[in-house]
Amino acid sequence: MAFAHLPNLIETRMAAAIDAETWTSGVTVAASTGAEIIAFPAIIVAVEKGTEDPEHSGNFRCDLTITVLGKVDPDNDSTFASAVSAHEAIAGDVASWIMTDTDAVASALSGTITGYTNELVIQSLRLDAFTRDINPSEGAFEDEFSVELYAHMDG
Amino acid sequence: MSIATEIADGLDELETDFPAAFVWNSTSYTCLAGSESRSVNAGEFGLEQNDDLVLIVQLSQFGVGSKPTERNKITFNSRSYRIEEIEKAPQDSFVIYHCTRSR
Repeated sequence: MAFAHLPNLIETRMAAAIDAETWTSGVTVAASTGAEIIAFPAIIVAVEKGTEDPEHSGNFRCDLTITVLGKVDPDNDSTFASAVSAHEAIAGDVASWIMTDTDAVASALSGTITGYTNELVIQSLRLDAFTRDINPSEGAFEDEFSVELYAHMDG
Repeated sequence: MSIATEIADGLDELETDFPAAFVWNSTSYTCLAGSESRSVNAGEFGLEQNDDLVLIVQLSQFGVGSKPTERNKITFNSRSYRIEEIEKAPQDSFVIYHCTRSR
């Protein structure tokens, strides 16, 4: 069996954990590798960087971004305001999920992924920062949550 | 015969020879399909589809009711598009919808 690289482990586990939430019904959840012809609304989980801390400990401080993408264009029988509301609802759910019970999230993220033997262990996580923007080329509202994880791998 | 009627007659003939339709607000409307381009490229979120479509549409079929406007969604050939730009012909005889794929 193969060994999963840490970004793959983290992104896959977090995308699965978010996708399992009831509020992601109808929302595409994907890792940083994206999807083939992605549909909006979408949540993209991307590990930006990992640094061993302390050195030679086997523990890594990882920076991860959760991006919520909402459609700017409303449906024909809807309005711009309704498109904004739909996006705000998903962004709020992500904020609640990542901020309310970080121990539960850390526990949900820990584990293995299909096809790989090594296990991810998340010791702690915290919301580090957030930004928001409109992406005109993609026609999407973007809410970005920067999350810091402290993790190691077993096996 | 007014210029609008002459254009309508010409479009009617073309629509008979090259039948096509699009769906807007759950109703099907006749159109003349202009250029239709499809492409898939690597993008910010994986593989992205960039489809463009030009439709020539007679406005008379909408009657006095509402008509498709900019940013409205339509379906053509089972694909979802958004109207990005509308060109209007003289005397409202027809319009040209420039559409792009809608996510």
